[in-house]
Amino acid sequence: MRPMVLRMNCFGPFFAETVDFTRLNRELFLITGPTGSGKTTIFDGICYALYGESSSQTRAVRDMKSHFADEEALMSVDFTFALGAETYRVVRIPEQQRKKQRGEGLTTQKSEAQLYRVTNHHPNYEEKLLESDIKGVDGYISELLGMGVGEFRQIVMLPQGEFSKLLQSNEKERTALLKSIFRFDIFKAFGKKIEEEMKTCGETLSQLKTRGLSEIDHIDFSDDDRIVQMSETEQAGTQRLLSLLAESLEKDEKRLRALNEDVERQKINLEQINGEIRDGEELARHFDELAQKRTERENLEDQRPVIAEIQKTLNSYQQALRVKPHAYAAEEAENAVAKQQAAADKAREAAEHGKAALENLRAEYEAVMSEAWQQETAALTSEQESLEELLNEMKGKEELTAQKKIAEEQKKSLEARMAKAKAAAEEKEQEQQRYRELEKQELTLQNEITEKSGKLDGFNRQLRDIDDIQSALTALDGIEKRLEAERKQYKTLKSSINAEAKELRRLKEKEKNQRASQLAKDLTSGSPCPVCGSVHHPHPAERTGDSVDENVLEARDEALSRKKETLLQLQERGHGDKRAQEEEKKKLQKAMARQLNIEVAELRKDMWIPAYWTDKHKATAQNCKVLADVLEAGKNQLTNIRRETELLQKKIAAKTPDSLENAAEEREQLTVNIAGLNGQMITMDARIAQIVKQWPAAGDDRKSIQIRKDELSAKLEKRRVHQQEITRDYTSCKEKMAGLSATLDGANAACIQAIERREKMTEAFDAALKKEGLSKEVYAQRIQLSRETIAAYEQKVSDYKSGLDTLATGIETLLAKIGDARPVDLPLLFEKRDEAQKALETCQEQSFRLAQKQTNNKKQQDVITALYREEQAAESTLGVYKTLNDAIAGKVKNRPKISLERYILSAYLADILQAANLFLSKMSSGRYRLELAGDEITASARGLAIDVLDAYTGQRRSANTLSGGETFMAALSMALGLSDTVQASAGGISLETIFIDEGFSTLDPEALDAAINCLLSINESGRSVGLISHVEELKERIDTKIEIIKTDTGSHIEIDV
Amino acid sequence: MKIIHTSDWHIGRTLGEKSLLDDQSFILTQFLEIIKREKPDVILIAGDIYDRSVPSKEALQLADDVFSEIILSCRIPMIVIGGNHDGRERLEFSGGILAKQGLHMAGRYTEPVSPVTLSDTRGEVTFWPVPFVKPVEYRHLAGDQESRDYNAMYKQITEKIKGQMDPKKRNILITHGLILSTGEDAETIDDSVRPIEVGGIDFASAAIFEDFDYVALGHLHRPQRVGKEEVRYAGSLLKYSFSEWNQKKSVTIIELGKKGDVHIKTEDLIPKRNLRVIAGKIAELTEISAYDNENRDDFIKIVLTDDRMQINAMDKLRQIYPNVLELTYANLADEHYRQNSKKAIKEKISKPTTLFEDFYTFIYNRPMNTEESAIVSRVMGDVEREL
Repeated sequence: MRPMVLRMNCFGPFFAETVDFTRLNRELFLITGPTGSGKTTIFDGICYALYGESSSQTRAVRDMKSHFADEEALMSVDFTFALGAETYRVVRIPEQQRKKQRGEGLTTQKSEAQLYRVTNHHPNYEEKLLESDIKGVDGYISELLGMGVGEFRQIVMLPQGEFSKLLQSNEKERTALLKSIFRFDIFKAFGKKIEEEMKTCGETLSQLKTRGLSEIDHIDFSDDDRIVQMSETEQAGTQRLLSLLAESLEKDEKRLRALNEDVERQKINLEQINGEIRDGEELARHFDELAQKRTERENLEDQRPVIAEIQKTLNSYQQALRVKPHAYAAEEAENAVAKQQAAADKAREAAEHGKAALENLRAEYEAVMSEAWQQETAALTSEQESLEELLNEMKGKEELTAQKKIAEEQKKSLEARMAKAKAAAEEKEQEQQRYRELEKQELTLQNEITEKSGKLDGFNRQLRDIDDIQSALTALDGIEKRLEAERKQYKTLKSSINAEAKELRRLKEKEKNQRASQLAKDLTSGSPCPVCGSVHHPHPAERTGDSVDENVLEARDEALSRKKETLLQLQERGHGDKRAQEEEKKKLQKAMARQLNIEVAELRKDMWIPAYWTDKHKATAQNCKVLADVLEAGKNQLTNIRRETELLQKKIAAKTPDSLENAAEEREQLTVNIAGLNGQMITMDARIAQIVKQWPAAGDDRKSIQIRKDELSAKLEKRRVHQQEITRDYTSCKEKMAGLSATLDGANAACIQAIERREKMTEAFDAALKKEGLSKEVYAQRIQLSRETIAAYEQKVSDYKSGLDTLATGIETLLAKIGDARPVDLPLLFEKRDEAQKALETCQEQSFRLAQKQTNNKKQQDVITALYREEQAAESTLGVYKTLNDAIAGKVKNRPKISLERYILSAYLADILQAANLFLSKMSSGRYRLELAGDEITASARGLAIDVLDAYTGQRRSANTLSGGETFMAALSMALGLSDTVQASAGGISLETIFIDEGFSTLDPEALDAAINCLLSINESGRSVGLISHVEELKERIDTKIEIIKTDTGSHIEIDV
Repeated sequence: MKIIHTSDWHIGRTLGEKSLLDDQSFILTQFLEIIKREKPDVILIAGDIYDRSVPSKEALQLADDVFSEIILSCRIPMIVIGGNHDGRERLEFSGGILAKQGLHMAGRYTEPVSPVTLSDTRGEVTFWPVPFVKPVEYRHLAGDQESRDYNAMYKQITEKIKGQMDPKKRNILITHGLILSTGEDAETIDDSVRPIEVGGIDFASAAIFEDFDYVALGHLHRPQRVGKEEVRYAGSLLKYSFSEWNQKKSVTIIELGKKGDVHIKTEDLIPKRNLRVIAGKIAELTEISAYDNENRDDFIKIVLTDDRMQINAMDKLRQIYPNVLELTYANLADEHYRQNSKKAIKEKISKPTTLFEDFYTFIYNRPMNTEESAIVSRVMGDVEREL
């Protein structure tokens, strides 16, 4: 079952929501949402749609009506699902209270259900109603899915808290579950059929027994048979009966054999009598035949003379035949003579014709072989050859003229080249001259520049010195000014110090007085003075003016001493500056003297003024500038010269002189050639003129000469052909003539020979006739007799002879057969035969009767034996059926009490566990395995209990002892294993989708991780797994989600892919 | 610029029921020592800091200690992205404040990618953090219905980053996911790497990241390059599953010179307790001399080669090796299955006669005679025809 679309109206928290499962593109999807949002309600919806019940027994559908819906709304579920290639839609409306459409109060809506098969999908959606009442729909769906709601809850939708049912259910429940999952019909039918056949087999057996008894009644008894004496009980033992029957059969057999021997004997007797009768009858027939043959022989003897006459005619015919070859040869020879004479006449005529033709040809032949003919031919040939030579000469002359023209042109171009080469050589010489001049100029200019550069450097140095002097003068002036300021400062400070010192002295005095007056104030007469100890105080000091502060005094004192220090410093600095001024002045003096090129003593006062040096500087700078300009011009000129030299150098190098040595020689050679050609041409002209003169008929131009020459050639060729033909014809005619003469001679000779032969043959014919004693007339008569006539005569003669022979032989044979026998008395023999016949018949009847009895009893023996065998076979077959039936029912003594059904279910379970273990061992890191519990032999465990094998302890324990998380892992593995196994098994139900509601929260993080990894890895098997959970890890790890969003007005469903 | 690249810390992971927090604390101390010695300019963590989306408070505390040491004491900036194990929204919490201290947390993928720019004497280096994102999330986020798989998605993301970045500067991508150079690499994936997609292996090709100077990857636990040297998985801190038992864990240190000049070395991490697989018969493994073995407190998976199950094997082994986490038998399951005469009923259910023969043999302990089997096959044939 593969869910496609689920529509829920007013169902649980959903007002009107649709879940489109077809949008889930992954095999693993998650239904998630907060608690109470309605995750499980989706389960309920599917379960209710299919079975009319919710996913759990504790949730009643009646209570599912949505609180968010008003009272008028109708709660309904509409579910489309696929099963194999088919798609179905089921709609259910549960019983519910609903507001009356008219008036007040509530009315009860009855529950409804419809089931459709979707026959055509979107966009031309079509469906066909299959069932429309609840019972029908329930039945149809249970049939369709192959399971009821109980199994559905255990293996397709594992509800919250009930997922471990398959793992932990008791044996009975598990058996029912497994039976509902797997196709079991065939084995059920098999068991039933075996049982039926066993019963049939039992019935057959009893029928066989009844039939056996009835067949015994049909045995044919004689009074002496022991079977007659058998008691009833003895008859029941078929085997005993059969042995007695066999005994009786044997006895009868013996009797029958004796009777049959009697019959044989009687038969032989009868046969003997019959033989005697046959012999007698035959003898009588022989005597009759002999008489008849003797009469026939007498008739034949009467015909003898007629036959002799016929024999004579035949003999003379034989003689004529012997002469016949000679007659034929004579006739042949006669014919040959006539033929040879005709041939001789024909040959003679041909020879005469040939002779006449030869005469005609001879005249022509002699003409072409004559002297005159040959002379004429020679003259024509000579003219043709001369003309040929003339033509050759003319062609040669033309070629020479062309050669001469070429040589003259070559000579002309050579001379032009020579003239050009001479001009180039001269130009190069001029350029080289110019190059040498430029080199000289460059050298001069270079020297000049070097000299002027030196001078310019001097001026520049002078300028720098003047600059130095100027700045030294300025510095000197600065020092003087500073000295002046210092002097002024010194004076001011000195007077300030003097004034200050004076004031300080005054203040100190005042202070002294003040202190005295202070002391005096405390003086009283009679008490000693703290200063002098006198007790009399005649003039106590009086307080005068302002008071002087001791601190002020001290500060002033200090300031004064600071000023004095400053003064000292000033004085020292003044001395230093003065010394520096002197030194600077001395240095400057030396520099100025050097610059002016005079002694120090010669220095004038105006030379100490800076303006003097400024003028000097200006003048020197002017000189510098002029010189620099000149230098620049010189440098430019130098650059130009260098550029020109370079160009020239390239130009000169590029010019390679044309070689003229060979040219002169070549020209000489050409001149000689031309002269030679001229000479040849003159010789040729002379020759041409000579030939033309000799053969004036041809004219003197080349064309007419050519025509004449061609005419001559044609004429000569014609003559040659004519001569050849005549010669050939004449020769062949002569040969033919010789042949004809020979033929004529041959023909004459043959003629004579033929005549001779004719004579000889005629003689031989006459001799032959004589030898046979025949006249020519008789011969002609006999030889004309036809072949048929002869054959008829011969037949007649031979028939006659053989008739006589046959009769003679027949008579002889009969006589031999009869020998010395006498005729027999037949009636007596007939009487004897009748007696014997009667005795035989009596004996045969006795034998027949006994044989009949024997056949019947033998048949009965066979029937009874067969029935007995059948009975035995049926008994053994019944045993086989019982063996099988016991095994199928699990009722074999001392063997495992496992029925076939249980065996197969336990094998299925083992397979499920095997598949489940793949998941479980992965989830538990190899710790747990599920296995079938118990030993099959014991009655208590019958191969359907599940144990958990713990690798850590190496022990088995019941699956019920697993912890919550472990149980979840095991149950999840079982669910996956089950769906794997079901997918793989042929037939049965289809578990394309399974849903698992919660349980993940029981796992620790590591186990959860393992479980998720397991679930993520199952996508290859073609079935989907839907998980219901709000565990955060799952939400993060699974992308394909049906998300339920809880709001105040009901929950909404969103699909997230 | 010197960069340390690490990933897949999985803080708070447990193995069996054992917490690895002590071992993680030990290895992170080692990590801090490496940092103090190498003095990098920045540290990149390419996802899966925590093992679960809601980490325990102990796990959070450990991460907090390490981060504080690096950010506040060493003053080294960090760039951290969310992996498939991380609670990505949680990771990003108060990211703005942390970024001011130099801890750049990119938990969720958002567009456009906000780069982190750091400078050295040669100029700027731009880091592009791309946290783990599934194609389904990406499609929602980018409104792009085309990117059906990881390859298409990463292509889109890279294209967008290229639109933002200056290719003349040095650019580094940090991301978490399955990036392989060829499909065959998929075989090297460890068990502990959680499949991030239902169904077949879905991965992006490393060729997509050609334009980056270095790509710091997280997700695979084995330190490895993907195609070229500059596309690397740093690998996990510790061995997190028995399939990793023979791997060497390390952190990756990248020395970035001028553009195109990248030097890479690794620094090994030595764990407190190793993860090992031991195979043998129970008698050999529990000999008295076994008590003298070194490192008995390592995390251990025992593969017993005994051909039958041993009573209380786990207890016996834990007396010697206190941290045995898994116990399996190598030669057991098969043999047991072989002995089971009811093997593969689904193969036989389609041949009912054979199935019945097996049943008969099982019940009577002898095969059927010819008579019996003749009846059985005939009746079975009739039944099959009728049904």
